[in-house]
Amino acid sequence: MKKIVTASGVTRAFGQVRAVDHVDLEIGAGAVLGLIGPNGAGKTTLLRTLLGLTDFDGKVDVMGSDPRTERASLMERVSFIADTAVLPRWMRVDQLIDYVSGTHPRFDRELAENFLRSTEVTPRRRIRQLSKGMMVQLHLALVMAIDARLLVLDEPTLGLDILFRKRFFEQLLNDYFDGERTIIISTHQVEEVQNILTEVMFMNHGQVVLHKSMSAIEQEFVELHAVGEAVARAESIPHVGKRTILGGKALIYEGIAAESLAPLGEIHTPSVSDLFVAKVGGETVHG
Amino acid sequence: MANQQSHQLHTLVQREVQEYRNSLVWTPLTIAATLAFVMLLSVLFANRISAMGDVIMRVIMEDHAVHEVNITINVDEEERSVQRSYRIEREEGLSDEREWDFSRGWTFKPDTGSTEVEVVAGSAGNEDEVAGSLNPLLNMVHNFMLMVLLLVSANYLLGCLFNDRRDRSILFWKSMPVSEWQEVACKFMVAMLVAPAIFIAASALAQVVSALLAMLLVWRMDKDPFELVLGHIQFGSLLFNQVTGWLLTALWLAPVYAWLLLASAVARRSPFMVAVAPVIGLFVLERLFLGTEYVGAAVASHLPHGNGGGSGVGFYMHGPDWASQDLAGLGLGLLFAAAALWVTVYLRRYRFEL
Repeated sequence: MKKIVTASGVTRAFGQVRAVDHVDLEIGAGAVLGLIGPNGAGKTTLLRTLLGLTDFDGKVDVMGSDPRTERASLMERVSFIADTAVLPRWMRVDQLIDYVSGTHPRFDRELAENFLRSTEVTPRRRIRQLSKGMMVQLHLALVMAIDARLLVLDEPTLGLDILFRKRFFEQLLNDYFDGERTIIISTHQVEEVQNILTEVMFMNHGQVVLHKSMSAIEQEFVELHAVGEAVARAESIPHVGKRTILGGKALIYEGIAAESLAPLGEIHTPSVSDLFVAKVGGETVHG
Repeated sequence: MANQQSHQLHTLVQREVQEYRNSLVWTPLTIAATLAFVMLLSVLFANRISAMGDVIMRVIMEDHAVHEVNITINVDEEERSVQRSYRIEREEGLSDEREWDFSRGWTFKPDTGSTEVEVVAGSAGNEDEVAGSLNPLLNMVHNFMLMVLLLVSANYLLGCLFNDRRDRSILFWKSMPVSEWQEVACKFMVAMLVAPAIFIAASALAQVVSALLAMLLVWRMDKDPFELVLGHIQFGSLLFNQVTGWLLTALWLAPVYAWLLLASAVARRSPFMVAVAPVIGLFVLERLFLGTEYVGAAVASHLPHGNGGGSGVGFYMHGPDWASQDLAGLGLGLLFAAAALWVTVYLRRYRFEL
């Protein structure tokens, strides 16, 4: 698979604090990577190194370009939403579309206007008059109308209600993802994105805790729901994490065949959020 | 490719004008319209156009006097005296027309203490000061517009790289394929050329309206407005001098504008304080420890200053006098501007959050 992003030894320090600490990363074309970590884990800083928005030590290659020195040209092939509500509030919607149309050679104005037609975001409205949800709709419409190879979304739905969040990811999957484009999503709402992810990466304290494809996670991790006397036996087997469930415990194992655990209880594939909690050591998943 | 770049540049400039529409577009138009309206009221109800009326009256009187009176100006030669007496005498016959040929050379040498002043009417490079010309009057309108332009430009430069960091919209701008160089250069160009172009256009409009109102005033006095007003305005040289005068002013202002942009890129709270405090600090430290005033002199030379042409606010109103320029100072200023812009681009690239 063609590599879209290759990073090695990426480090970004702010004084004594290493926001990103020697991260190695490879992302292939067509991947949908979920970047998951608690607040302050270094997700945003890592994404900014990939986008050329911050200085760093180490090497980063995004589609053959160094984002530190070639950010402007890279942005012709890379789109990103850095946060909710970062659109210029003084602008009108049509002025914003004019701007993107005038500066981005891969922007399809008609497509953006089509996306917006089904929303309440009308051309003459000022962005400051839009609700937060409508701003995200507008931003997503602009981004989806850009024929980019890599889309980076950093907490794109933070602060939105569940209906907007659901619509956002549905639209992203249905109208944008074509199996060739690469998407990196950093989010706290793990459950809402896990069904669209092909890869997942956990970060904590600036370091990568886990980076695997979803299929590898299904093969390598097993969740056992043990009740009654089976709990003690299950706990005696080395596991990466556990939590209490009704009448027993749910334990997550790494590298153990599911068949060998079957006598102790029900076997499941662990959810990404449960796996995250297990791997990051019981620290809270926010959101 | 070139077409795409020019389209991109147009979009970037358009964005700046849209964001600062009030100060860059509506302010000059409103001032021009207000000036015109006030002058119109003045013409209709008071038969004068404030200060303008006095100048026009002088022109009319001078024109009138050609056929009726001789004017003798007696300057009191008494030491340090500021009192001068003027006497207008009627003569029996028509005066010699050569007496009223303003294009000929004449000298005016009052006693000014130690300084001797010599004004030569009709001398090269100072055509606006031709006696009886209405150009100085129109330059007053232009002067006022330029003063407002300076304030608006300073406000624009201090805010343009700060406001989008404050409201975080910089994260959107950076998602577009526009380099920091393009961004900074565009903002600099807007302050140096685009905003002045808009203000000069509005100023020209106000000047045309002033001239038309002057014609109305003269017509109401049963005089010939074409001869008395249009005959005393040199539109070509007026516009040429105002445009080229600004270009030279802009070259001198370049380091100041670049410094304001840098302050806008550096500031975390107040770009104005970042722009002003270091300069004052340097000035004071230099005075205290070295006893010199190089910083103050350098800054002063790059602020709008007099060119000896009688301009009230010190712009190069009467066309650039290239020969008298301190080219070393100008060059050093431009070098400083380039360095300040380079640092601004660096900050914009890597240290853009408050």
